[in-house]
Amino acid sequence: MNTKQLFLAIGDLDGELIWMGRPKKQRKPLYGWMLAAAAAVVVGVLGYAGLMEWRQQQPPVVDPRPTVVTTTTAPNGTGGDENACTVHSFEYHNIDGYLLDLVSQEEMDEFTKKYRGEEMTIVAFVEYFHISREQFIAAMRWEDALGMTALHHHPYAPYTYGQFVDAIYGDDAALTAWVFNADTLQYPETEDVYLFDGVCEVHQPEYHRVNGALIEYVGEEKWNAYYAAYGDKGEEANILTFVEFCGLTREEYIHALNWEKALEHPAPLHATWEEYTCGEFVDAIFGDDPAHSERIFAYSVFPLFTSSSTASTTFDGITYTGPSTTTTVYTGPTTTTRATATTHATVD
Amino acid sequence: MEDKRIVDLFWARDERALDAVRRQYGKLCRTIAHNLLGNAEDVEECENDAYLALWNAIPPARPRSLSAYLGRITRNLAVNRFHARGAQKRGGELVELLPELCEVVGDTVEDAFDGAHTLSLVTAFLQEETAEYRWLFLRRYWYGDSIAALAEQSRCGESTVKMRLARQRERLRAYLQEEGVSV
Repeated sequence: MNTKQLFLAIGDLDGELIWMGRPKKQRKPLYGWMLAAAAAVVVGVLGYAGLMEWRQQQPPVVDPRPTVVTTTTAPNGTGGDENACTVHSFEYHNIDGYLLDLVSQEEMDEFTKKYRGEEMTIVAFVEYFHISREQFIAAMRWEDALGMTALHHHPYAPYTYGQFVDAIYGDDAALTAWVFNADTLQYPETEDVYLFDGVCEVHQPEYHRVNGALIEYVGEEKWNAYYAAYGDKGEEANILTFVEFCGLTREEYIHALNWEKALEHPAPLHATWEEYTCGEFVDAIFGDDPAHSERIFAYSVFPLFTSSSTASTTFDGITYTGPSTTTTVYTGPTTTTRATATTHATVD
Repeated sequence: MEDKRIVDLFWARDERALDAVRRQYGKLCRTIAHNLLGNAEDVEECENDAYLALWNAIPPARPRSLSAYLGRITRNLAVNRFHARGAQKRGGELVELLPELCEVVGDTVEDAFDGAHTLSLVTAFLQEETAEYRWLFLRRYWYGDSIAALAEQSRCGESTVKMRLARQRERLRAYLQEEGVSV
């Protein structure tokens, strides 16, 4: 071996190793941040004093709608922000980009000055800007999706897009509280398990992944038996052998994943959100068309580096941080009358 | 654009694939070529040669990672261009990289060279290294970063970087010897 040969051999290193040599993120000098932080503290103290004085001069806000009280303990949130609301779901305090396109930046700035923290909600937004139900649906492009499970909001959303709209515009306080309660997002107690040790060069990762909700559905005993039989079998450790070993039917699979109303929906799986529907994915597992299965499960673009056979649930920025202790159950619409929005609304 | 879609364009012999690669990975390609060659003219030629090589390689190749694949092509072209230049025109980090690697394997020319075996040895060696040393080795000998650039990224002095690299080369040499490679 000579030097050039060694240099060229280094060039042939696997992509995974090359990725480990990616540039490090540079941290900015501390003194700049310290100066900025000091200025922020001064501004914050002055602003807070002024805000407190202003608030004391305002009349109290009365919520016209009845309160739905639950005894749940909210999950720890979806990662990162310790100040995030732990009572309501992320969607309650989030204004989708499609809706932001309906208003100007100046108008939005005015809105956020008036509605801060818990008061900054999707309900307050549509009321403030007088966005009708039809405008909302059109802006969100949900004309054909109202009956679909809102999986693009969250993989474990049990409500449909239509229910989400009703939660904003309807008269049912219980529905509103259920849709926007953080506990409603039914995280499985068990994390997903990626079975293949390393990066499978033939199949996309979903082929070798067993969703935590499926593990919960079949139960620990059956899962442990499957894992003992297939855990170290490489290519044979996949969703097809899992459903066969556990005797999971197509209907049970769909039910465990809450996909009854999602079959026509683009599959919000870890690998890709656009290339196939939930129904096509189910057909790839339970159907009898090998060509279809091959197309769905063939290796596709995916982050080059995945975890090993231990659980991994952090793709697409979604972190499964554990279950809530109880779940609020929506039991159906009520006839509670909702007040017109002459004041901005709050939901306890 | 996703790598898969770009590769599909290559397979369809659609020249938009080259535009996509240029937009997405041109900077990586130029950085590697510049690190190794240090000469703007050579860098530009190396980059264009890399795109041509990519066009000729795909199909039948279907790389999983275009960045790694293109980076590999660029490195190989850069080192070939380096050797093709006269000694007086040489610039870039290869002027220093190759002598550094010469400390590991010497400069004997063997009749037969088992590239796959060497690759597996280097891979195994790197997997035993700590993350920091692995990063250092890759940045120096794959990406061709200068000592100064490595010192800045590692937030330490250049002499520290040189010392770490020297120790690592010693370990690699010892490892290759243990594995029966004549060095």
